[in-house]
Amino acid sequence: MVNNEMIARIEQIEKEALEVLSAAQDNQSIENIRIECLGKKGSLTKILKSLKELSPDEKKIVGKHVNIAKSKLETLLKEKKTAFDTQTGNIKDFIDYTLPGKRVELGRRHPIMQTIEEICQIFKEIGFQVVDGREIETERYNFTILNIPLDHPARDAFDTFYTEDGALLRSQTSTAQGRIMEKISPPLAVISYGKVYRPDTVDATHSFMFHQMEGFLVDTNVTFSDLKGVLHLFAKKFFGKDTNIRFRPHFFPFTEPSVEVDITCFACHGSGCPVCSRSGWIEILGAGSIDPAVFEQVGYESGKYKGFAFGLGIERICMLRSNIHDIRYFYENNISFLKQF
Amino acid sequence: MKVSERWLRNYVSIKKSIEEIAQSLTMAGLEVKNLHYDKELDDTIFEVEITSNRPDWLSYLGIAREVAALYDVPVTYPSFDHQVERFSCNDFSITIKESSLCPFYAGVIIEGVEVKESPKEIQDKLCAVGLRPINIVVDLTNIVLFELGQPMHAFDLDLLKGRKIIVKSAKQGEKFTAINHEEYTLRKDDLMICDNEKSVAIAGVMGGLESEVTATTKNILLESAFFNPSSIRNTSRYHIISSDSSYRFERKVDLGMVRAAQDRFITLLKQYSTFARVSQVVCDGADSMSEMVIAFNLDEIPQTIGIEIDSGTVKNILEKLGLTVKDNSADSFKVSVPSFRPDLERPIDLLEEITRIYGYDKVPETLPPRIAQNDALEDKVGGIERRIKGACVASGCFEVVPFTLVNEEKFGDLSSVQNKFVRIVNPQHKDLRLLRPSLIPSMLEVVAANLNQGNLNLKLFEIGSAYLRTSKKDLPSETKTCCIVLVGETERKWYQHPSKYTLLDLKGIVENISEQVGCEFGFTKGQFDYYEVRCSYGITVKGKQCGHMGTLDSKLLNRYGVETEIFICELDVATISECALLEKTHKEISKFPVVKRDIAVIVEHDTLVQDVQNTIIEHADGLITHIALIDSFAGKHLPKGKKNIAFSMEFSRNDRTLSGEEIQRVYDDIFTSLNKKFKAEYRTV
Repeated sequence: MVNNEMIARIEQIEKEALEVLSAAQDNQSIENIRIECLGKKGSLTKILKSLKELSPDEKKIVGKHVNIAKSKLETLLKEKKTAFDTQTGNIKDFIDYTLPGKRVELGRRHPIMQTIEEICQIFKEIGFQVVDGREIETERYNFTILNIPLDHPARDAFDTFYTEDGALLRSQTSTAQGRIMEKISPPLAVISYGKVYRPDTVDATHSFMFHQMEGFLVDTNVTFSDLKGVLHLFAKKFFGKDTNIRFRPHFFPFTEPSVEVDITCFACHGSGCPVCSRSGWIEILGAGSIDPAVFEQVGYESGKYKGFAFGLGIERICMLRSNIHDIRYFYENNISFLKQF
Repeated sequence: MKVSERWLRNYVSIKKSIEEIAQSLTMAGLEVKNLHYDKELDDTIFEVEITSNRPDWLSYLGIAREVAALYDVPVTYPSFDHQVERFSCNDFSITIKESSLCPFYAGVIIEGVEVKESPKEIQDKLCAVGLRPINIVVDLTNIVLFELGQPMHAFDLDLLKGRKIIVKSAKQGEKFTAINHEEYTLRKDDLMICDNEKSVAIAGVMGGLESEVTATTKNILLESAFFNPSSIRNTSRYHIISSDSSYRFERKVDLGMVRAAQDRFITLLKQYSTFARVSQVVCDGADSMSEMVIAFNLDEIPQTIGIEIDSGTVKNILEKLGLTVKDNSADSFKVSVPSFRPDLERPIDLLEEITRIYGYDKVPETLPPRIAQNDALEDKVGGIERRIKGACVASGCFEVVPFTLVNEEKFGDLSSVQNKFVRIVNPQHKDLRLLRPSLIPSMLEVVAANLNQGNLNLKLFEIGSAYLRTSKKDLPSETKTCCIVLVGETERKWYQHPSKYTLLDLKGIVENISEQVGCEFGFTKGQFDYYEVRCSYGITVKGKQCGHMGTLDSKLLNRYGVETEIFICELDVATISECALLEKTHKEISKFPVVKRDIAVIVEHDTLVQDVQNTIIEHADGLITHIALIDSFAGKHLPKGKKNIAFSMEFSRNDRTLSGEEIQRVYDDIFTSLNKKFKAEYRTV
């Protein structure tokens, strides 16, 4: 019978094709099988074309067989081809993924500004509000309100630039205390940062312009121990969770008690290294409880409020953290320097 | 102040090592530095950094008191008991004319002094603190100064005229030569020690060359006094003349030590040299003072410090520090302060002392009971600043932080606001005495420095203040300004050739900022300082001037040694902040199809694209939801003096589908109006 013969023929073609296919070593042999069986003049194609000469019943049976064989072969061919492609790779599809990506080039923030932003963010999380401050100031805000009398040795630490009109360039961001407290009643939890100026000769660790950040908190019920808690929280968030702090007594005219605050060295974790001059501690800021004289100056009701304040030098912290040995790099703004941050 | 271990141990007997003592002092607020062993002196020397509130620490006795308090051991006081007969001296007088500047002045005459070289023991002590030995009289005044903190001065009595001392103000313009051989022109504000004819010392600061004690001196007048601290400081600072003596007087010496210092001197002189006889004290003014008593309640400690310290401990600490607890009933204290602690005046001063000695390390860490937000504080500009900086960084610009003090010579004459410049009277450097009136001079310094370093392609920005005088009465204005600069070309890439920056690259960054702050900027032709006339543009927001941009004047570039073209802009952050729209309102996206059509026309080369675009929108019946310039070129395929511009437009309505005829009608309208207004023509290829 024709159709049995044809079915046998189909099975034969399929069997042979599979044998050749399993022995195939490259894409070319696969392609040859495809042409032989499925090409325009391929063996299965021929059978398909001859179907029209068969009776409807035969057409149905043979057609089914030939289609199954065809689709089986196609699948196997494809699988085999994919296997070869994966093995050998295909030149057209090859991507050198080590090529530099096509980028929209980004700029960078200045390291000083990055440091400021990072510290601000931490104090904002704690609940402080950021407020802007002036740079050109009067004696009153830079000295008088801060309990620094004229002709007092306490002023030695605050040598100051004066303008032709008798104003001055603030020598510390603590000016924010007077500016804000004079206008606004507590509760206050404020951070203010910016440029400050002192007539220092520029060298590796000094500059006549640098950046400070001032923080202060005033409320009816604030203690020195709260200052310790807030600063330790900050130190842990900024320098790492294992950071410890210690308070060393100091003197600032506008705080009492006044302290200098050290943190455990982030380079050696307290065992002593060149970064901390082998002491295990690094001084990072000055702080204290706000002196009642300041509250008196701004006109707060006597004895009603207590508070604390702290001030930190941004350059110093940034230099310590990023191992920068010369403060002048910050203001030279050499692109090769800026690109490192 | 330099401190010798040997010398210090004379006053406090304690077995601890000097390193341990140094650490304790540092942790008590008397910071010790540079501790080292000096082989020549066979002594350990260290420096202490003494804060200006603690004049009592400016002496060995003061430091010894602190050590004694920290280790709870007694102080060993030096001997003041010279057992010398004193003759009464009626022919010598002391008169204070300015009692507010000199409350007390005491003199002692010592006759027949053998002014010899000091013995090694004394010389070593002086060397240890960094002083040069001179002779036994001068050296012993220095020894007493370091030992007790009281400066004294010895005059050669025979060189003083008229057997009298007058303490009075200098004559304005008076000349005076001090021991350091410098001549000073004095002011009325300067307090002087005078004999009957002339000034012999700048009070508390330095003696005169003429009456100096030398090897030939036989008789001396030993001065010990208390001078007004701010007067001494004023003189010392004005004349830039500082001495161990002025340093102590301006910090306030111990009035109770003024006479005692003379006794100590006599005791030492008797020990190390010889003399014939010593007078009784001749003095003017008073060295008695009212007792300082401070009262406080024990509960002020927890309220202020946040820790409870019991009454017994508090009493013990106060007494260790040399204070006298006069009354200590239950919870209240009444404490008498000794004359050597002028810094203790208020209860808070005592609370600090108690806590300091108790140990800051024992204070617990707590958090404030509340951290309240104060509605009166606002920081609107801060948010805008962050957005502008974000746009700049995303546009590839590097933030710079240059000096705000600039060299006026380089650009001042090109400014139209020279009369508003803010200058420093005491600059650190003569070239840095102007507070920048604009960010451009600062930025130019940065650009010039980078070009010199071979960094030829720059995209930089800064947000900082520009300073201008407003009126004599008010403080100068500080205008927060954003400055952006472009120099050179884009970096060479494997996928892209470098292209020179143009003003439109800068404009693109400004537009990014505009998008970030949610308000559209306008650009106009205008004349601004520092720009080339042909390339100077204003930037506006909501009709208000908010900045300018352009190409910098080549005259200006020459002054900074810059030869390449520089594109720069300045934006006023406050004005932008006022117009910024940070809270966005959602607009419904049309559910109906959007029809896209392009239009390309040929217009005169100087036709402004913005004008054409505005005309298109005007004549589109409100159907255009998006329009963008997609082409703009001139060249050989076009008639001379013409350019081709093309826009892509999107039409839609959000209530229905637009019909083809409708769009065609609008499209034709647009073209007709462009043709009418700009003589625009369709491009025929």
